[in-house]
Order: sequence, then structure tokens, then C-alpha cells
Amino acid sequence: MFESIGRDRVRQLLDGGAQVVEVLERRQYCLAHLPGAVHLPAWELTRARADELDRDRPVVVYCFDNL
Amino acid sequence: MYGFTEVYDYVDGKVDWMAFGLPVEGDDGPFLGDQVASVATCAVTQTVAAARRELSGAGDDAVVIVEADGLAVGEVDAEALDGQPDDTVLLEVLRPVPSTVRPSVTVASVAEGGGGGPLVTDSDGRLLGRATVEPAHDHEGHDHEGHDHEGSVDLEGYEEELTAVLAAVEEHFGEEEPSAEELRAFLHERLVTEGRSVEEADRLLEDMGVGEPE
Repeated sequence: MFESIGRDRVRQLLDGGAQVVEVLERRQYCLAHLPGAVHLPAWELTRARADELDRDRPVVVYCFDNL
Repeated sequence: MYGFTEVYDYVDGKVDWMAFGLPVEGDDGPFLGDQVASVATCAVTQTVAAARRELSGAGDDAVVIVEADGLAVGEVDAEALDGQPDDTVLLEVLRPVPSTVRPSVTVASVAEGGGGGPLVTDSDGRLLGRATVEPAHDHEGHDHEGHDHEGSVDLEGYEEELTAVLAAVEEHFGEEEPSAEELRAFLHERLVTEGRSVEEADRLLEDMGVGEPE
């Protein structure tokens, strides 16, 4: 289950070693992404791609905005 | 989901992150947030004497007037202080801040707009500082190298595109998880149906990270 969080919580999680995932298209990811973010487009969220992440660490997923 | 126990959704996303001047990685920078310099500030309740001290100490042309929570409300330059008694409250002499920009705006877009020294504030209006940008013609051969600077990031446009693509994929495949090849074939056909050439569709899919089938 996803937990919705804000910017300050994201910063805390990143400081604690969380993984961050951008789900937008490649062009958007290349233009600008959060530090250390992994590119994992929403349409590629398969189990195989998920294996690229560490299940023992928190994962923060983000898109453009809250719309 | 997929065995993950701690998954968070940063609901305000990249737009929020960048609007607060937090660091990003990528090709579209530098952003104003990368080159914000501190400015002399005074509180609205301080006096002309305090502003004079700030100006002489900082070597700035103007003092930015801020409220207690850091909101930028105005500026006072040296000329406005001329002839004012030392005990005049700055609220009485300030001129409202004309406009501010977010730290997520690209330096290139400001340069192409003629440059300048805009005040940079976060999305809540809190002052971050000032970014001095030279006009674009002073950067010929630098700012455009390797980049397609069309101004700041058009996040809204991309979001609409992405939402439409995701909706189409969901409608077509439903609960079924398509293979990469099926996904590419579907998206390619959709792009061509929309009027794009085969080559253009190939390029767009490459941009999206949906590569050639095995």
C-alpha cells in the first residue's frame, strides 16, 4: 500500500537511504530528476523491472505533480 | 506490491521539488536555484537606518524587505533612502516586489528573455536570493550546445501526453501485463494512427525508453 508523503518526508527518507523512482518518460527523466532517482516508467512497472530495486529499502515513487 | 513493504508516493512530485530549489540531476540545467546568491534583507518593521547599514555592508544596490516568515514583500534601493529620517519604518518607503521567479526556471530561459537579476522565491513566496543572468547573446556557443532550450520545462504538456498514453495502454490491455514487444507494437501503431511518420514514432518510443523489439 502506498503512503502519500510530502517534500520534507521525502528528504528524510532520502537521507536514510531510500530509493527514489521517477515513473515519467525517458525524455523527462533525462531533463531533470531527483538526485539518485532510478528511471522506471509507469508502463514498465513489471515484476522483472521491480527486481532492479532493493526490497529491503524504502521506495519513494514520484511523477510530475499531484494532478 | 511485488514484495515491497515500504513504498511512498511523493504526491506533489518533481514540480514541487524543483519549485523549492532542491537539487536535481539531468540535462536541462542549470536552473536559477543553482546560482542564487544571498541578498541584503531587512524586516518590514526595521528602519531606514538599518537598511543603510545593510546596503553599506553588503555592497548591494537594494535591500529586500521580508516578513517574519521570510516572505519577500518589497525592495528599497539607495535612492529611496535619500532624505529619509533614520527612524522611518521601511514599510513606509518600500516598493512592492514586482515579480519573482521559481528556482526551477532554467537559466537559459531567463537569458533568452534578456537576462536580469530576478528575485528567486520558493512556491510559498519565501525569499531564496537573487539570480543574476546575462542576456543570451553573451553566451553564444555555450547555452545552446547540446541542448534544445525551449524555455523552462513544459511539465504540463508532458503530463497530458503521459496521462493519455497510460489510459490508452490500460484500455487496450486491461489487467493483462503486456510484453515489451506487445507494448511497443501497440504504442507504435497508436502514434502512426495519430498521424506521425514511422520514423517519428520510432524516435518518440526511443525517447520514452521503449526500445526496438528483440
